[in-house]
Amino acid sequence: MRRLPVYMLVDVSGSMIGEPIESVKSGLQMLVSALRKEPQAIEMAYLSVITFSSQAKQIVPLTDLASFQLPEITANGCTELGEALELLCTCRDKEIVKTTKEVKGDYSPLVFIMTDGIPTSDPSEGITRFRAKKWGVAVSCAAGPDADKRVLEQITPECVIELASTDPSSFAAYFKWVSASIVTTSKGINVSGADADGLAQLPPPPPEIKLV
Amino acid sequence: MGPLKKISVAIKRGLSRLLHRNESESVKADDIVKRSVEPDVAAHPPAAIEELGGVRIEERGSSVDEQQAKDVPIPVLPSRIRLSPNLTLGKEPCYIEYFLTGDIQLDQEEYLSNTWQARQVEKGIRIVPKAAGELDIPIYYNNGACVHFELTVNPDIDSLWQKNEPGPNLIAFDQDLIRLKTGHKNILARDFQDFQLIGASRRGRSHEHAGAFRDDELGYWADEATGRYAFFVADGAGSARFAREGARIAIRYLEDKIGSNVTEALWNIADNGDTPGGEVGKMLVALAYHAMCQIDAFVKESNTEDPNRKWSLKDFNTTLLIAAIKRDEDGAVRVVSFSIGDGATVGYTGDRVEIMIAPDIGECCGGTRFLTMPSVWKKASEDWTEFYRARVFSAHFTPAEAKKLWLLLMTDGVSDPWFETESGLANLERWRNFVDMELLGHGDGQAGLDSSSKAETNAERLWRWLGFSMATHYDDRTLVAACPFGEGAAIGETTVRHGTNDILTGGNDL
Repeated sequence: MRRLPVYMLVDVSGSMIGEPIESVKSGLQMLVSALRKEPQAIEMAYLSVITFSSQAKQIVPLTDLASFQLPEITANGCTELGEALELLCTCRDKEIVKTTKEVKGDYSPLVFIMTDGIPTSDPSEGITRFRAKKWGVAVSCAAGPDADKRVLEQITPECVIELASTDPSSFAAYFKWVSASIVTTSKGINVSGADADGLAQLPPPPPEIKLV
Repeated sequence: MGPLKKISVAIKRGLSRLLHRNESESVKADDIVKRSVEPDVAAHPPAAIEELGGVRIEERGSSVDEQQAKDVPIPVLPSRIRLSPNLTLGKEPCYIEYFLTGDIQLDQEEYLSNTWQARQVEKGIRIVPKAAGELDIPIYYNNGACVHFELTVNPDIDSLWQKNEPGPNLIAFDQDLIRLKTGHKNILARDFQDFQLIGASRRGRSHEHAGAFRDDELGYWADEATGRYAFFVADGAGSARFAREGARIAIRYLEDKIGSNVTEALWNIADNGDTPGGEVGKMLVALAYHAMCQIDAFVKESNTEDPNRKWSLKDFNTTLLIAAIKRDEDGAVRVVSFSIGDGATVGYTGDRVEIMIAPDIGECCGGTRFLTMPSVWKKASEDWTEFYRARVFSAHFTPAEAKKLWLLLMTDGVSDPWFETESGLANLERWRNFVDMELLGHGDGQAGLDSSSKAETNAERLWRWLGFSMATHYDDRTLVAACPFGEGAAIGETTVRHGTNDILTGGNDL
């Protein structure tokens, strides 16, 4: 069975304490609930959540939508984005099934990265490793005015989006768009039989989200 | 007997035993265990959903009296408890039981709401969801505590899949001519002396849900007197607006032209060793090329008729599989195949799998080539040998093999779920399972093809079977099969059917 793997990278550094992290939690929950209404997403989409602050942790391994449960998330610490990218690549190597002569593997994974600040230590190694791999769709989101857009442009040059603020409605719009993107991608894959090939297929972002 | 066995035995004995559980069958309170119960559902249709299997969670806790006796402060129950795993409507497990060991009880026997129900079981609670969603279930205990149980309930996925008709936007966009030619169902059925031809083509879940058209097509030609036959299958590209018309034009053209072009004389010219398929193979290539030209002519004609259309050959992208067959007087069978695109053309005799296709799948998934791609034909001019080698195959079956031969052409909507990869296609075991179980088996979801039934009956069975449900496999399904039902078939009966149901009347979708 060919799965559509989706990795969510979420900044849980100290600056997210309070309303922002609550918005992220409810946003993730809303994302999962929305996907659960689409039969194609339910059967194909597998979701993983990697959080990063002073450390990167895969708090939910690649899991089918029906079984998915979001654990507690607390915000604290700095912003090790580079480590998150390295962890993402490690998880990908471990979890993604490759196509071989015997078996048709997973579709190229989708990645949605979100941060509200500046990486604490140099993320270059993580970025290099990330860019060396093939992703179906890779999107970075700069949450709020303090986020480092230039770093994100190095990670996902094809698509960086920006939330004007870190208020709840902006986060809600972001997660809603991510959910629509996943559904559109899963439907597109079924039509063409091919991997998601970049962003031409994604729905247009709502007004709260600006393309950078 | 372990506790798990006790519970499943209890269920097997009858539903009433579950309601009146006696002491000897209750689970030992000391055990902290999470279990899933799998009852024998077929034997005991459930009177209530909760009588099917569930999940049982036990936690150590203590009663008010125990605490007071030990002179220990009364523990506070957590105000929220997240239950695990998530449940799915229509699937086992369908309830969760949560136990606190000791004497803590619910403050009432039963709780009811629109979306869930809960009741006291032994010394715990059984929660049965009735609707999908994120459930928040407040339960009161007799020590005054209120616990909110959080439970995620997934919807029954079959209830989410819809069957929709193409909407007015799709039909108005089209020309009437195209709309009326396409139906959601097409069937081939013909009884021959030595074999039975059946074929069926239907929409997959993706097109049904989206309210789109069937993009696959099938066809055949036969002249039993000279032992010449031909089968065709085409898979219109999902991304091409009029893909189904491309598939249809190609196949109708081939049905019309193949008889007068792949003649007996052509079959009689012996293969030379280097080019398997010989003259017949070359003729199939020529016919495919002309089929492409037919589509191109239709595009140009349509654009002339209405310059606003601006249609292109790409809008009609389709794959194409052809199998030309010659049955010799001694009963031997020769097959020459041609293909552009994915899918499968295979001869199966029970002992041998003859793969007659090298599917175009490009470097990574999704590099399918199409009949209508000029680059494919350009390649034919640039490197004819390579083109021919990749697209024309030839096979020979002895009279004994021919008696057991299944010749099948299918689109990837059938080959992907059942064979997955090229090596899957070459796997004899998979074929045994596919033919003996899926096609000939009479079990649930199997086609039940029967050598003593007429072609039309078997074709309907095939069509029904093609509706098989398999997660992530939503493509249109098409299969043409020459079945070795010669001896048992109703000889002398020839029923030919090209069923194209008008979609406006809803078709015969089952």
